[in-house]
Amino acid sequence: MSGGPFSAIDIALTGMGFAKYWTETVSHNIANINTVSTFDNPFRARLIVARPIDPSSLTGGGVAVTQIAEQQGDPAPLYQPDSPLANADGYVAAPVVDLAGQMSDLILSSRMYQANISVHKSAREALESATTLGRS
Amino acid sequence: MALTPIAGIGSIGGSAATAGSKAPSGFGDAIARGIENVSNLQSAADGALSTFAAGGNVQIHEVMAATSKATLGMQVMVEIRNRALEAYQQIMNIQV
Repeated sequence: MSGGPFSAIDIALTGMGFAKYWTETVSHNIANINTVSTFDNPFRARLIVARPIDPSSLTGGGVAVTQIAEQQGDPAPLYQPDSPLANADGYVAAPVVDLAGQMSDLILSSRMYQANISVHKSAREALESATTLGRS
Repeated sequence: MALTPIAGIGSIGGSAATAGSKAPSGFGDAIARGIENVSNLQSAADGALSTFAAGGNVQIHEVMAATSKATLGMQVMVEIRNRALEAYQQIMNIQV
């Protein structure tokens, strides 16, 4: 992907795509903030793991999602004896989601998207200026 | 006797023409390839836009990047056309 007149734009696009995916997973995690479950299969927040594209090339090729991890830790017990998911003692498993961390990730992903849009804008303006080079 | 050098020039022109048909070279070929690239950029932007409008699996920033690439390509093409025309006009205005 590196090289070519639009490589900066293409690399910024991978960043935008990553940020959008990140925002989507954060959205999923926050949407499930009240999803109780059984203790053997609690809801766990999805955490995406980044990977650089083509890091050995001259400029690199951007960023991609390499895997999706799940937030670890034991689910908190919630006393809901009427829930069909409750165990013999009347407890269900609270979702394993760090809401404050997810809100921070939301800010980060949104800023990452904006930052990549700035890169795209800057690259586009540079190319536009280049077309005026030497104009009489 | 005067016909011999004319035949030599003809053979040089013929070899240049065959070389030109194999590996594209010269301003005309470069322009033709450039126009083809611009056309490809525009059809990519067009495809991305219609996929997005139809609710396909394409993201808004991809559509916008494709359209800005097509715009940039078009700008470069128009600019080169203007420069070429300018050069042609300068030559045409040479006083003889």
